[in-house]
Amino acid sequence: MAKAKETTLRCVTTLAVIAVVCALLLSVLNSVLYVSATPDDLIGLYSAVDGYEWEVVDVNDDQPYSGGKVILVAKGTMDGKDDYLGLLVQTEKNGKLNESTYAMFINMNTDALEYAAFVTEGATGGFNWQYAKEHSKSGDQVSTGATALTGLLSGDKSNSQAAWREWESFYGVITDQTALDYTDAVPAKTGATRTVTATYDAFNIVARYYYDNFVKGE
Amino acid sequence: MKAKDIALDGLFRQNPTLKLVLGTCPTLALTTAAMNGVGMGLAVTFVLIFSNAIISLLRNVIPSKVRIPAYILIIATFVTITRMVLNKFLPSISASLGTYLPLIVVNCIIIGRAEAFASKNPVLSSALDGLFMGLGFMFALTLMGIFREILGSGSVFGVKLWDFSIGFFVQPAGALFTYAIFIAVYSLVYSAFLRAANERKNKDGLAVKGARGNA
Amino acid sequence: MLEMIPVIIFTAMLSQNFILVQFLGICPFLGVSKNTDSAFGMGMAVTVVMVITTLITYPIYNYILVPLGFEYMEIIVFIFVIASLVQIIEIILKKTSKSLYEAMGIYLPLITTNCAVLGVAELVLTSNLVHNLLDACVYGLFGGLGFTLAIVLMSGMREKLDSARVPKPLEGFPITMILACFMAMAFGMF
Repeated sequence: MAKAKETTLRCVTTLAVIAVVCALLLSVLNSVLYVSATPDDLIGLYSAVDGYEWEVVDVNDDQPYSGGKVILVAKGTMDGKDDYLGLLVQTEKNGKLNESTYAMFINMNTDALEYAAFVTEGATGGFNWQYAKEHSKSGDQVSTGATALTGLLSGDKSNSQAAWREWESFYGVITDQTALDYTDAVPAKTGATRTVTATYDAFNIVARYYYDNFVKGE
Repeated sequence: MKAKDIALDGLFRQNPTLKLVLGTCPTLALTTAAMNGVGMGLAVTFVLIFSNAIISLLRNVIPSKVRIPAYILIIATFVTITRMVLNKFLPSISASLGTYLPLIVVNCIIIGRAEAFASKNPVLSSALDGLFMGLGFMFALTLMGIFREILGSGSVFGVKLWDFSIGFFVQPAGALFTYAIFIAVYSLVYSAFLRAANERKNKDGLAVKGARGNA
Repeated sequence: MLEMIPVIIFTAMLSQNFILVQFLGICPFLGVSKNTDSAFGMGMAVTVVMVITTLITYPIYNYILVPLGFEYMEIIVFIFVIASLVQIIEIILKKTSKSLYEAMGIYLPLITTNCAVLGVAELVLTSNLVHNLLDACVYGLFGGLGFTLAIVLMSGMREKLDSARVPKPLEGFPITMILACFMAMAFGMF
């Protein structure tokens, strides 16, 4: 009987030790493999800012935004060219859709949101900014978001500024189909519709952040 | 066991996919494209090398009663690590493997090699066994991926070859059909190989006998 | 969102059938489909484990792992839940119902490493159809029933196959897979 007890004890201890070691190993690796953002992540995404020098600006995280957070703000400069603000936004994990990171580029002279791209995607497929611009809901389907989007894209400073001010929400601006169409001919993966929601969140966060920190005071 | 034997077993004689018919779930589900085969193969190889090595290292420590749960814990750890590494360095592969990445934990090849090989052999040969079993798996998956991608989408590794394609091959039914053909062809080749090996052995045997007779 | 339930039932059982479309649980599908009785026993055992697994893992993931930021422990936690669950069910069956234990017991140890079980735990986290625990359990239940349907149908055909003559290289696994291929084509129609 004592022997049996001893073996049981040994079994349980061995398992417990293995489990603890595994959990510790994973938590260490998780912190090592955690991807933190640097301005290098902005390079090569948008051809108009190729060759720009990027300087990190402290992220102002006074206000929490829903759906994600701004993880990097950098100011890009180049002699004789417009200044740009590059932002990295990380949207929250939504079910099995992992965190996605979006880079957005705003021309600081016109205040126009010129380009958005995925840095890392939580699901397979891609999001094409140009396509979204062409297919965003507008006209008959006018929503505040669509108006804002059109304004943001106009490249005209007063229009852009008005758009940042009037902006309410981008939800519904881009049709679900847009994201699905741009899954690079890969069959739509789980998380495709969540990708759309994450994209809305990313736009909303950037819009709010830019308005709070760069437009409001002017 | 000699390294050459371990290599031959993993790649050909005991090929996990074609001979042992293990790990069938990812084999069928992910071979729609050649790149998926490579990605899954790499992930499984990585897990196999480390789980085999660690299990072999602990083979005298783990009581046999709880060995299966212990193996599963170790395997699950390495699968999680693989997932983290892929997420960081190769996010596109990680995304295309999707749900099948965590399912490597229950891939019969890994627990099968742990039980059949790593629990009885020293660390180095266990790691080698893991490497070659993984490569054998990757080899079979990639071949099937190439076959299905060419016929089903008219491309190889994402490079378009022509517009002609037979949709059947990228559908689930096509996966089963392809796998059936591959196993059948493998068993033909394998039996031819065995026959050739036997003949050679017989010949050698006769020669030896002849030599003795002469003496 | 109760109107989603029929959609989930249809998807889990037929159009995204675990075996024939998603290829989860192929090992038992090929291994335990030689006769109809054992196929049914295996199918039922898998269904029971699938339902209880989703019932446990779905809340664990959403209410414990996510708030604590321990998502990376997901795989270990899930496989641990499944392995212990299978052990517990085996012990309970052994103590309470001898007949049920005889019918299902021998299949239980195989279930821990059945892709379909860990698969359902993972899938309900990704699926666009699943929004709450009820959805998840329904997905698990009908996924399991779809599994049973496929494996029982297969066993019926394999019983006939025993008396048929098959070309030599196709004997064993290949011919079984070609049979499954035809079934997958039928399920592909959904």
